[in-house]
Amino acid sequence: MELPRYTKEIFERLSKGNFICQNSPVALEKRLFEICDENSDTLEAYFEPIGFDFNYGPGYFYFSKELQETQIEAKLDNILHLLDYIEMFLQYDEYFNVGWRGSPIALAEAATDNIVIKERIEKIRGLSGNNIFKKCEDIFKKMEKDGFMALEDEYEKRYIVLTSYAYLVDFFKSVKEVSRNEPA
Amino acid sequence: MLFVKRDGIVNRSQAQEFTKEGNIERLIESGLITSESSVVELDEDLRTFLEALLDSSDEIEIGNIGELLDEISIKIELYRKAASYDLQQKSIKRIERVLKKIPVMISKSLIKLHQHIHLTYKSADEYEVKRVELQYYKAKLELLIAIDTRIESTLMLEAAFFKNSVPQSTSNLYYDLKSHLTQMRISLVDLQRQVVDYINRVSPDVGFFKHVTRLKELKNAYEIKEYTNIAQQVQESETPLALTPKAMFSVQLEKEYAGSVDFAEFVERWFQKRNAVLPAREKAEAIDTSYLDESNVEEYLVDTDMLHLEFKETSTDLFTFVMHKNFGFEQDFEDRLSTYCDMAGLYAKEYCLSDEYRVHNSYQYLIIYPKER
Repeated sequence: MELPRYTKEIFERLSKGNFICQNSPVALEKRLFEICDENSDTLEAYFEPIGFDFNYGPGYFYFSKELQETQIEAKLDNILHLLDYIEMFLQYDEYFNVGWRGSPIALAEAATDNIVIKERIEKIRGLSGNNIFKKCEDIFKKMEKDGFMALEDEYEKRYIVLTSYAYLVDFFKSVKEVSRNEPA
Repeated sequence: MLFVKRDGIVNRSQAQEFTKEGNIERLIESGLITSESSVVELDEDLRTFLEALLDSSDEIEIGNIGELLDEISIKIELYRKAASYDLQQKSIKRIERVLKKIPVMISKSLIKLHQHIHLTYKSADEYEVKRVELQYYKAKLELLIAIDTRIESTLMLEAAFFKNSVPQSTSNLYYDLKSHLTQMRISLVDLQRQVVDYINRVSPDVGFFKHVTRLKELKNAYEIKEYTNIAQQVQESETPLALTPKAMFSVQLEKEYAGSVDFAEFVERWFQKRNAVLPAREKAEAIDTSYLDESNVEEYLVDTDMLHLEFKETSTDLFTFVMHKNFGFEQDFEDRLSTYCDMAGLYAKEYCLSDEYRVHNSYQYLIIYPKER
């Protein structure tokens, strides 16, 4: 099997739980995306025997893992935590989606003017910082850490929503309400 | 200056005013311009060459293609009505030039639209700006699709002319254009799908916003697990490592290095080395069976609490009680004396300590009674 160049970099990135996104502001990651895109079958066949499921969505690649029974509840907890973030961002800007750009300063300013956003931020659990700006900064950092945002401009502290965010959108779209008479 | 508009026809006397004497004649001789009666114009081949060379405008000029189509119809009409072979040839040359020009213009417009659409989607900051610009390019694209339909119908209308009346070279250009249009249609449809997708992406997804708000309400009411299929979706959907619960353990290693391939290889090498170095262990000598023989050790302890309760029910003194007590196992005088001291110390508050002392076996002891009930 002839492996593409940068296979090592691709593995290192994905095995750490990162996504490889098409719209990443990092040039190397964009290049890695192109390589993944051109060699997806080869890479899938290469990683599969060593226990990594090489997956993709529109504009992103990732490694997935089958969860143990005990981990399902923790994943649900993570997802519900992200629901708080997404709902808050959508309250802030209905255009929040892949490619959206924003900064903690702008969010903090909006929260100062808009009590609804402020309340949402205050209620998000686990945020560090004792003022609204620090909390906003923490929100962006958490989204970055989970791989759904990237710092595009360090000077302006401007972040961009990565294509991996489509995973969350697709997930939440797949969640449907069930009849009240037939609990899920 | 004379041919600012390449298709322009210039009066010969006017041309001579702009040039040095004899230059116009030399240009005509070299075939760069052609002269007919009192007018001069650029040679057809030169025009084609210049257009190919100079065509570097960034504008998307779809409207011009429509004008070229009109020109084809007019030139075909002129060809049919031409009185001489030369005039027919002139019309044919013009038709050929237009047939060459149309696919170039369409391709150019398509490439530019493609570039503009992608660039707008990827680079414009404001979503509203993006959406407006993409709508503009979508309209241009639809215009190009309409032009394509018009070209197709024009070519179909004049099919007999191109198949039967014109030289082979013109006929070939006609077939080339038809083939080009077929290929281009695929790209047009693809680009149209792409621009619609981009517009959808930059438009607010109101449905998703409402859906998320509803899910959040259910979450806040602690009903999301009960009244949605979220648990099932969590179980069935692929789980990116980013959303996998993290195993927490502390290491002295630098985090970046610990997750690297280098470190994984190091661990692998170390593990192999460790297995290789470990000597085969010999069995230890058999243990002497006598060592494993059972031996029971019995030890009796006096339950002072029970003894205290029993003593409280008597009317004798503590020393006499302890000395005559049947413990069920062997207790010598020293043991009994020790028990007497323990009892006197532990339960002194519950006993009545008299002032009377007695002597037994050269030991002087205090007379102690249980408190009166």
